[in-house]
Amino acid sequence: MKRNQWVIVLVLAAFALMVWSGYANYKRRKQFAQHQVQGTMAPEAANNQSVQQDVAADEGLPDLRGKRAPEFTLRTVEGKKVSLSDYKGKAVLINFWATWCAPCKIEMPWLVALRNQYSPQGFEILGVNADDAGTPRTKLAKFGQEQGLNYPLLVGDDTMSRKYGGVEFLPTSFFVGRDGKIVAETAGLVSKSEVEASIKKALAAGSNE
Amino acid sequence: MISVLLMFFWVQLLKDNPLPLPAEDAVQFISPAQATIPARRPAEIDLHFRIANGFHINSHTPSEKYLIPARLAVVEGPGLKVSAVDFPPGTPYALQVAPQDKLSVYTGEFVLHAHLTAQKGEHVLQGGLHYQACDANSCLPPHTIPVSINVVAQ
Repeated sequence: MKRNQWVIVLVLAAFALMVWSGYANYKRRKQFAQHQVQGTMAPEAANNQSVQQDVAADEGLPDLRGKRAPEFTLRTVEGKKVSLSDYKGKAVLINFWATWCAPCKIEMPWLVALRNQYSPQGFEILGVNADDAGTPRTKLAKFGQEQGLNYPLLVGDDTMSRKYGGVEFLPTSFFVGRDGKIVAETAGLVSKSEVEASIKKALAAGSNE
Repeated sequence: MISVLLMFFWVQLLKDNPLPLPAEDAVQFISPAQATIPARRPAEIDLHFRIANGFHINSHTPSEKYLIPARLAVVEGPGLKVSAVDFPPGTPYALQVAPQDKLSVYTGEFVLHAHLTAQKGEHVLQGGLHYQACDANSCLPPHTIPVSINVVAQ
């Protein structure tokens, strides 16, 4: 009888451990998802900032929100030099993408439409390519034409990527406000409405300066 | 019964919300570490790979030209010749936001069949599986994992 009780206690403890680990995992992933879609922290999230930063660190994407967007100069697929500072006073979406990234391809028509809609208000997209360094620019340009991309496509490099936390997951986007500060960042595909909300936030940020 | 339900619940959580992981951890070469085949006669070895939970890789024949196919590169040593490698067909997969765009992918475990012949003796079949992995929302850069099998031809 006593042995049976021990077995029951052990089994219950194992159940409890499984439930706890499952719940902890769920909570952690939910916080990560929230981090992806929220440009500014909700009050309750602000209280839990350290947890969010841990989750962002897991992703390899540092929390750059509120910080000045790192400056960079890259060449477009046509060979023209482009710097982030060229867009001073504008809201900019820095979108890391690759030709081999299926989720990137899904969001591209959304980006084209959103650029058409918001460019009159001072919005631009910079598409930073993350294909292998040896990928011919002509291939990237052809891809851009095939997808109907209407924004500058830049040939990315490790130096630039490191400035933004060593972007490992694609697509990854940073939304830069008119004041030059990052207002939102996302790793992975998010909905069009979430992208649009972050664009509006970037347009609103620093608009009174 | 309760334990089965709890296990199911836990597995579903992991499946639906995989944690980010480095590209090199997305696929593992499982087996065999060693294979015995008849010497100087056509033989086959099954190579088993496992893809991390919640991830997929493009099959050998992706649905679009820009997607990177799974490929196996092998290094033939003296006395060992690999004539062909058969890849399984891909499984249709669509991202939630684009159900009409079907990708051709591998998930879970998959097996490649290598056709080879070897002279009598011990050989090392070395190579690398090149793949590009994604989860439901994001993609990792292409990566190659090493494959090494001790082949004993008798």
